[in-house]
Amino acid sequence: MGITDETLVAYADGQLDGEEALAVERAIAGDAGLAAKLAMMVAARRAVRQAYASPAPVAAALDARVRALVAEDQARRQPRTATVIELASRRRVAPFWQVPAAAMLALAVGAGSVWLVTRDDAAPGGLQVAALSDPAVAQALDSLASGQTVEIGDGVAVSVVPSFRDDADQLCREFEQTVADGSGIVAVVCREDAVWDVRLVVATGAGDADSYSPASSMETLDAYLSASGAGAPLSASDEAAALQGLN
Amino acid sequence: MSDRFSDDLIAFLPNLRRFALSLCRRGDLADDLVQITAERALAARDRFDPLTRIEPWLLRILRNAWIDHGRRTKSQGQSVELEDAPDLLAVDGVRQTEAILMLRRTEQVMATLPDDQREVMMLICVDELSYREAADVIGVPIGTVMSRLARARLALAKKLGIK
Repeated sequence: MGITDETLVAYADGQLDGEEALAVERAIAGDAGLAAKLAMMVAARRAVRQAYASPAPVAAALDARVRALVAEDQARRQPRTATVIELASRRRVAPFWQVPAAAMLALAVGAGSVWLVTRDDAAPGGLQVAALSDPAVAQALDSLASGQTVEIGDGVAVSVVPSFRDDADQLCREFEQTVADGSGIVAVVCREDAVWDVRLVVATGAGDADSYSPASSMETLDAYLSASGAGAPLSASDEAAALQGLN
Repeated sequence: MSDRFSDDLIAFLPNLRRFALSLCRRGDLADDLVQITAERALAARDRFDPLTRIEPWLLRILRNAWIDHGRRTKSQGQSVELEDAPDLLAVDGVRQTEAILMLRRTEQVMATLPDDQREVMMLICVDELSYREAADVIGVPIGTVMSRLARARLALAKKLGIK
């Protein structure tokens, strides 16, 4: 039986099982030409392996680029909640009135501008800007001191962050409203004509994957506060006095 | 923070670059191919079966990146870049020089092989993939890999004067 070149190379590379290998060995024993061919195949493999023995050196720049890609990939894989926690601590470290001027360029939203953010699936308990006219929300804004959170039913929580006065010296409050699934909005309202006038609403991330990015929401908010001439947060006593004056 | 997938990818970069150089023979393009491979591998890592070897998987991504490049630019330079070749003048000693000449000659002969033969040589003789793995990387039946490999080995031996 003739031994094909394919079988011979497979034999040279140890890819044949016992019986096939035995057949090749028997054929080689009686065929000097076949034995020489086998020797060529073995030698060719050795020559190539030696010629390319050392893997190609990777320049530092390429290595650094790939490591940056790996780091990006790992950052993407962090759970979303970790980002939110990180964000909260970042904001405590750098409050909005200390946001550098560069951040203002990110978005300059004029006073009175309102970002209307609604959710496609207006499921029960889902957030809508209309919810801001909810008496329960207004009541919370009228009475709650900064840092406090109140449940207003259906798993909806309202927490007031800081109070401040805008460039027209009106009392403004920033608050966060979340629903049970973790989605929420952050909004800025200012007192005008005895009602809370909505200045800015930004969605702050949700449970689903293709939702808004919490980090950029907060950047937007920071940029707005800087651009709109928001004053420093009121002290607890000033805030209490201001809220007292509403009623 | 590190993970197995990322560590394996980084450890295999020199091998990827060596294979890339054998395909495109240009250092800058080889770097691009390696970077594209890393990007695609990370983006597709959820589709990698951790029970299989990562090396053939990465080599296949790189090879596909090279094919994509060829589709975009029909100008596949045939120049052999000198910066990646050993510097003959820097080596002392006749024996060392002879050994290096042999290595260089082997590289030159490899460069004369048809592309499809050279790549099976790289995958099987250099990166030591199994025939099955090489067939999967290239996307051909295992019999095709064996016939290309046999022809490449005989041609290379003849051109190197191995009898």
